Amino acid sequence: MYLSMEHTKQWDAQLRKGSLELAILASLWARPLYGLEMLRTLRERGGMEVAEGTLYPILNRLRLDGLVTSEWQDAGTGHPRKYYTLTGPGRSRTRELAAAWGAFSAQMNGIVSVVNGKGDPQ
Amino acid sequence: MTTQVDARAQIERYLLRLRGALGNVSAEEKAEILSDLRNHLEESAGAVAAAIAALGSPEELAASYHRERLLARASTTPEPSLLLRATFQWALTGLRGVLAFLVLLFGYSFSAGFLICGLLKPFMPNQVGMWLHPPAITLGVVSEPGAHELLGWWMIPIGFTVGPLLLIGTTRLIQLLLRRRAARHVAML
Repeated sequence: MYLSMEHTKQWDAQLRKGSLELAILASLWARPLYGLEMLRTLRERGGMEVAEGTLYPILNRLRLDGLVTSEWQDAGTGHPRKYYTLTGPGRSRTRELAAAWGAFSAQMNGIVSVVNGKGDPQ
Repeated sequence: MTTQVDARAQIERYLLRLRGALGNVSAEEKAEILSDLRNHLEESAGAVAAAIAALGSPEELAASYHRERLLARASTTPEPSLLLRATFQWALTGLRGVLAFLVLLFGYSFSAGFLICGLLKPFMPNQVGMWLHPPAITLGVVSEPGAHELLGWWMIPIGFTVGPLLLIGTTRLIQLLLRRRAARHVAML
């Protein structure tokens, strides 16, 4: 029993890690955010706990790939903050990944619906 | 006041170690990375020690940056030295990486072999070429008696065609493998 739960936990962690790039890009879809805000958004909107040490290296890669830009803005808090914004290619990439995700999750839902549905097979 | 000064000193100490651990990252990119993290740590007012602990050690964090950077650049760069480094890192993680690394080594070695033979043929026509001494075929400089040269002067155009084609082909193949690996592992670091 313990082993099986461990295995489920590991599998869940792999799934989350695999979708992290899309989650990070999608968190920036509505408006630019600063780092702590992104972590909060991912946690509040999706229950996703992302480690700081994971977020920033990925953000840096997205910036190198030209999908995200960053700049200091004074958002009326008295001190400037570094905000991350999706670029044009970043928006197209997010749209592509979101579409792929939608198609994949629909397929998976179709497949697992018999498991999650009511009653057991005879 | 003292705690504020302490917090600032803690942040600076952390960033200094990270700067060192980032190694040969360009100055411009290093400045961006450090400013990302400075902003993050300064935002965590009052809980700087916890925020630093959450980031992990500067060395671990720098390693994550390195892995992500290679992933970003290696799958699109045609620069052999970067591909070599990225594939070598991959080789350290498993069998697929080792195979990719061997493909890269063989591809580049043969590419260099063909080019060098093409270059040397006019100067050493009797020693350079593709030699048949059954059961082996050797490309290069051979002084073995009984070996028979197969290409003659064709070594020059063939060397100058096959060499670059192998270079381009190997580079493309490794880029493709790295991209496929990136697609699988994109955020597993």
